[in-house]
Amino acid sequence: MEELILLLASTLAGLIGALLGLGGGIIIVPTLTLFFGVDIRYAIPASLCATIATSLSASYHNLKSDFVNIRLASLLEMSTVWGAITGFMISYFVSEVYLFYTFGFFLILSSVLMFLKKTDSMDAESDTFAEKLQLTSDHPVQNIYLGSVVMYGAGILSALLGVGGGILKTLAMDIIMKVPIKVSSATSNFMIGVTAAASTGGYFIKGDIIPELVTPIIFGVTLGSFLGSIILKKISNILLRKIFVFILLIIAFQMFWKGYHT
Amino acid sequence: MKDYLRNRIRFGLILILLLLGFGWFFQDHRLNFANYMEYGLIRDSFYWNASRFGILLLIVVPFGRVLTLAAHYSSQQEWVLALCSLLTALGLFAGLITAVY
Repeated sequence: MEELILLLASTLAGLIGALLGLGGGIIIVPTLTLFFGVDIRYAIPASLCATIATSLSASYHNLKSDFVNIRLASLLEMSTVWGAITGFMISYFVSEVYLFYTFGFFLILSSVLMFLKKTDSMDAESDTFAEKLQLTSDHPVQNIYLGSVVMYGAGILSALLGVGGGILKTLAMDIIMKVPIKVSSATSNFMIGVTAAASTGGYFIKGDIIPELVTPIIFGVTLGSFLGSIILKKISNILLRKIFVFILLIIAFQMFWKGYHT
Repeated sequence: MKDYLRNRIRFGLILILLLLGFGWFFQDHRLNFANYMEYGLIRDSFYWNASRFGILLLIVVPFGRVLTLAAHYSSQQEWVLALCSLLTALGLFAGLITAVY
């Protein structure tokens, strides 16, 4: 019975992850720790494995529907990975409490911006650097430099706060780089697997990944992200934006909660 | 390139699911999740190692994807993107070392 519940929760996590470019940790970690009493030490690596599986499964489907901008992902991955390493290094000197609150407020502000944006400006002109690297296909890519800096910051924050970088990646691409929401979420999904793989490797070597726990999660998220990719093709941008705003507010609430209990 | 990547991802994903499914079939399904660390699959059994290998593959596939893209961009002489992919791969190894130590 427990496995079935976890399978269903993981399917939901995979579905939301594939739709919005997230790893699904916001569902999997609370499910494991609060409902099944799993130690957080084993819940976090399990959630990271789910992130990789969501990324692989969703990317497989999104590559077919041409939502993934591989060239843009290759450029931005570098910033997030090195940002995450910087985050690991400075984590000993930074107080988490204020970061949780700051990040919570930042997410609320972002959700307002996303809510106000409503449409994607497909006819906007692309950055010269983006044109030079052929990062654009049928959509604009702007503010590459600022976007890369924000991605670096996203990497730092994800390492410091233990949140998946997916939400920040989608936000940065959508709000700063003016990439359409569907391309943003699919490209973010393509990238999150790489970032998660780095830290998962460490947990794997330390023996914190329990195969019995991870297996139903991987099956669930693979199925969920398959369904999510199908929905992504059909869903309207406005509805996708509304779902994203809703999830942003949930994560903002989680951040305030964590800040209060830290 | 997209088709090549898709085929590699599909192959990796199928292999991962087969290995994990094999281990899952032989585990004790009556236990609570909180107890698996002590009583799940017999540690170092053939099934447990198959599952562990599945998880290892899950970690390796994204690494492979980054290196594949680096090789592709350098073969096309797109040096900026090739360098970005190589630096990403280097960052992944650095991240791995940081996470372990």
